[in-house]
Amino acid sequence: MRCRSLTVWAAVLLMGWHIAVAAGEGAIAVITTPGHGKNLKKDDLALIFKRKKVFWSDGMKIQPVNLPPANPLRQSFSLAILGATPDEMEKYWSDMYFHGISPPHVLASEEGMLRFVSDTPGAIGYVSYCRAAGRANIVMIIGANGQLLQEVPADCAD
Amino acid sequence: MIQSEAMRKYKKTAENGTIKLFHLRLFMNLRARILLCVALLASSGQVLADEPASDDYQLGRGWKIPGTPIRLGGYASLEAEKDRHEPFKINASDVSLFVWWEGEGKFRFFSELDLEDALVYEDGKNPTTRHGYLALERAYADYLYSECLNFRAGKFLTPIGRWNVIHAEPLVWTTTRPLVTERAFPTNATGVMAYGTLPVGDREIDYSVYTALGEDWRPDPKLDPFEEALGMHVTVPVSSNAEIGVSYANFSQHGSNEERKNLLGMDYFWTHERYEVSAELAYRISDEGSASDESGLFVQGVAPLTDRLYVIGRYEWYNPAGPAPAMNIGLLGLAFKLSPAMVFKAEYIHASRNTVKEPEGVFTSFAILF
Repeated sequence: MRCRSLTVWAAVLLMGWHIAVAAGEGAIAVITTPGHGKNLKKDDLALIFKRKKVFWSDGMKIQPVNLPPANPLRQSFSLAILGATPDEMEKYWSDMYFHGISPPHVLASEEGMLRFVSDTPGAIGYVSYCRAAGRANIVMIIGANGQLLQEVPADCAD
Repeated sequence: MIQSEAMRKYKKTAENGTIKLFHLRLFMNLRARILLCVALLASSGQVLADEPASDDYQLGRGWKIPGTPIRLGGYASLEAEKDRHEPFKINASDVSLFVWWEGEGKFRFFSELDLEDALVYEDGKNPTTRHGYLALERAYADYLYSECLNFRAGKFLTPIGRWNVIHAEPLVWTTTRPLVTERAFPTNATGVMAYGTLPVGDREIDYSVYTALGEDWRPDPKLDPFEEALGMHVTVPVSSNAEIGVSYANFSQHGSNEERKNLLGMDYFWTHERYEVSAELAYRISDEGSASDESGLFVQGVAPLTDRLYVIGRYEWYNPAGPAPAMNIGLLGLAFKLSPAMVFKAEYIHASRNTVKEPEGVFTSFAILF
């Protein structure tokens, strides 16, 4: 009996996951210049955006870029990857500043980020999945709930 | 700087686009002009908005000298205090300048010069600059091998506990500093260090291992620097918002180089929705016997009262070397954060059995990270 209810719950969760996967809206695409970020893990991404990991495996300097702190995508990305909101990261960056480490550069819009990442060797950033699809080198997809998506989201409403 | 070049390219593209559109506008009728103006404003706004914002000066983030990889920054603090053992005093306690350089390669350089007690006014006396001292707080070069292993050579802050490595006035909650964060060990070391972040499971463990060799660079005459030291510090996250650190150091100091000391320390930090709890403990054992041992601990709590106002409470127990009894120090304070880079602090300290003349009374300060 218990197994059956567990199965039902699992099916419901799986369905929910598929719905989330299907909905490209809300998903975040982590983008890099081609040739970088293959096999990137969530932990690596956290280290990159905390400026603790500063080189790609080929020795090129990583150039992480952020959206402005109030941007909803930045808020979601920060919570999903760093486990804290941009406001909560302020103290971390003040402490890092005391050691001469600056936070990632900030770009004002997703379009700016797409252009910057495609033009700048070693760059890494993030935009909404639907904006990046077909236009950028996507190395990771983060779902609306902060989980990593293994499948490409199916639909993006224009 | 690849990044800066890309950013300059954006600005140039934006300027060119704006000029071409402006010339076209001259040849159009009024309606078209109005429509074009709207489009121009929208498009230039978009292009300008796409320009990277963080190369510009921002308080608390430093200033990048244009066209170079060099950055300047620092902090300053002004204190007004009424220590019960001393007359009322106003003191420009720190004017600290950071200069750092980070290029595209594996090396980076950081230095901090601190002008201490630059201008002091004591009740009943004329303001004076004679207490001023230019201290070399830090000057080191880093070789960044990987996130797991980096090397540092030069003069750096001794990685014992949390407070000492982020001791700048704008970054700490109180004007005064717990004794355990500075009396039990020299706060700076000149030598070499290996440090990095080790991913273990889903956690990031920060570590540093260092040795101090020979003469300290420009030692502060008020301090007793390392003669020789070997130490390490490890920080382990214990949850998403808490971490524990462990420090160990074996050292001798210039003023008593025959005496060998072993220090074991622990530190703790927890934060949740602007509440904070931090604690540090140090136990230092001397090879000259237990009379020379020194130990202490503090626990500090911070709670938000409003968006910008915080209340701070701290208890410290400290047992100095020698025959003096252990002392208890209590602190109650307020901190008003004008911005993340500016803070006004006020606190009251009371100590019992104050044999080391720890400041007691009312202490206020204004500190800015620039």
